[in-house]
Amino acid sequence: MKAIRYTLHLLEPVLVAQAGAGEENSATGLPYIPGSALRGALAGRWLAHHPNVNFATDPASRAAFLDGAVSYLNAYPLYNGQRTLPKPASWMVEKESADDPRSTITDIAVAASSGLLSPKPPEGGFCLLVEVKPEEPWEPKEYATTFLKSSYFEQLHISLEEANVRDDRNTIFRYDALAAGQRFGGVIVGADDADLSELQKLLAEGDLALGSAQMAGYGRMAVEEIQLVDDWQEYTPYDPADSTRLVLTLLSPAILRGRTGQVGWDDGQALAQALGCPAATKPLAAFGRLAFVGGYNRKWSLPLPQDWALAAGSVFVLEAQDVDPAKLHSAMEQGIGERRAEGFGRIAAHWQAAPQIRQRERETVTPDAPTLSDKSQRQAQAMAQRRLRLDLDRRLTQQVNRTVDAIRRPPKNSQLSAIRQAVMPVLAGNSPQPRMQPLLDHLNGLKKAGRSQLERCRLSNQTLFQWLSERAEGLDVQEQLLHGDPLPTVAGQRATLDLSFRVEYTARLIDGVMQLTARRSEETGS
Amino acid sequence: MTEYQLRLTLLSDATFGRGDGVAGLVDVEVQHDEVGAPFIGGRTLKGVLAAEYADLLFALGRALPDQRERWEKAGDRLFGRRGAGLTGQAILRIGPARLPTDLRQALAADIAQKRLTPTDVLESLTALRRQTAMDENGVPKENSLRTMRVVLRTTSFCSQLSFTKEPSADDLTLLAACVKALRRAGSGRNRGRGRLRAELLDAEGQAVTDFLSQNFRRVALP
Repeated sequence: MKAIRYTLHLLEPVLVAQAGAGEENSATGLPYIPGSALRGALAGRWLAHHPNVNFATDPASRAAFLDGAVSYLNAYPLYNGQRTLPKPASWMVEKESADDPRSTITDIAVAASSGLLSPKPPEGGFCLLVEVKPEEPWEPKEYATTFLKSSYFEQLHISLEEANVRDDRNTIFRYDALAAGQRFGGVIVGADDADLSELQKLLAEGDLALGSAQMAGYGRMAVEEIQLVDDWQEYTPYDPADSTRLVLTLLSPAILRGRTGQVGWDDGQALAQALGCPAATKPLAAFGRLAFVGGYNRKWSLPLPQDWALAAGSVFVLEAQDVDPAKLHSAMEQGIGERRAEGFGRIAAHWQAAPQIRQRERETVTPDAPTLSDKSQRQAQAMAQRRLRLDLDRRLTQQVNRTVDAIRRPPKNSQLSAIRQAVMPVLAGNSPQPRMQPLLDHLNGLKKAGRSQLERCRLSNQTLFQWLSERAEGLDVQEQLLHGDPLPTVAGQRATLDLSFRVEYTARLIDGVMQLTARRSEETGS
Repeated sequence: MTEYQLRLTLLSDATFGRGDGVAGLVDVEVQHDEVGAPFIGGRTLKGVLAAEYADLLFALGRALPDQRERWEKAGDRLFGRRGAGLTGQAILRIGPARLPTDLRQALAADIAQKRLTPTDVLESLTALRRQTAMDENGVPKENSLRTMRVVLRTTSFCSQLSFTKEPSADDLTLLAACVKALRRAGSGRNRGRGRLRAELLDAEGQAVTDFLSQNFRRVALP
């Protein structure tokens, strides 16, 4: 299959809303970027280059966008550079080990019996299925999968009827959008090289904007790694364990109408008819559900009519002999059902081949730290200083309590107040003298009665007078509060315990000890 | 695509609310991303710029009625019309205002290597403020104590502005005038919070607010 592969790197949150999700004013985004949105964006770029063309009737426009010759597949999350696919609905794990990322998965569409007591689907909406080469050639083939889940970013917004007017006509609503920073793998499939080359040029025209609120903080994405591929495969087919059974997996939602013209869950009968099976054919097994699908037409400024579809990941098992090979091949190449140009109806055959699949934990990539600009370094330094301040504030309370707990024979409250008065100009930052000089002057100028109270009072192995003098002279915040712990770092910038910090926290430590000692003395009546 | 940047530097603490809080800790939390870095949403920025445009248009309508239609057209082009389809859509895209990309990447690396948590990052850029309502006697009202997080003054954010079509001279003039008029944003802006300095920068990072808005000044102050 000829295809254009490309990567969408979300620069902002992207909201392409799911049909029927939540209350009418809010929106929850799809966990992928639908092909219909991509088709619309490229159609907009095409029209900008062909402004006088009647889009609906022009043969080139129809071929590129409307008649299904080109299909715009959904962009699914990338893992290790590969496009993941929707998790099959027939994959189950034992309920009690559902949280274990290495539990074995049983594919109940392939396995003769599940052997599970309480089957539950594993976590994760998308998967990358790989064949694991056995160590010895006689060992059976093994398969492993890694699960991925799209990240969301939730934001509340207020819609104002009139700017600057707050009244009850305003609406509060919530957007649950795909978070920025994620990468999704998109594909455009077509048979005509000329069509694909034109579309490749449109893709390369710069960042795309998709979904709601494009003009205000949502929707922007970079288009990267655009490649035209001659023999693209959406999935790797594996040799089935039982060749009489055909396991079909929907790789995107499919709109298939039954004999009554309705879309519904019919255990896959409409799918069987579409693949040329005899009229009365009923699939051997069916796993999955229906999903509500919609869309939006910017030309009309209206949503598309909503409809039911077979959800992506639904699995159907048919007798292989019942299926028309030509119709199956066509379905695998071009999709099945309606809206195939928008990526609906993608189907895989023999993708699920093993009854048991191992789970692999997702590898986490540690991002590299870039070299910061001067401005960013200054901001990071300010953040480190703030972390230091918050840390010192927490430790200060603890140290004040520890110190006061160790005090024996406290001096009179009048002495404690006098010391606080001496420290106050330092705390207020308006002392004309450097450092803790006001306190040192006070201590040196004490009369005999006052000094003897401070020397009679003991903290552990020293007098209160000694403790105050050492703190005021040494400004030893590193030892008293940080106890030698390293200073905090943010983005490579380490906080500095400069003189102003040391003076401030020494003053606060002394003030706190005096204040708490006085309060405790009042409480105990001593 | 023509691109500009909108740089916002906080001159007072500001709260750009997320719409909810953290039970028991914060009643009004600020918008912040997955690394804990505060940001100002694109919709919020579009809202405050559109509010300045509405004020300018009102003032022009009173002072220079013959100019109103000209600037109303420019405003419709910049900010779009409600319910617009393919025609009538805004030509100005306003991205969220964030901390510098290199700083956010460095913070993400620190978090991935467990040197920091998103909460550490948030706490290093913000503080908590508490307020309570008083009755007519100056007594605090019951159950009125509220805690809100504020982004600390001097924090600087940058938003990408891009145009889907080439802007006219009037479009850029009006945008620059709205940026120049923008002085406060966020919650509590009439109570001292949210004072900021807004600057329009070109693609090279040069401030162009005054240069672009001088046309508007000539019109408004003939």
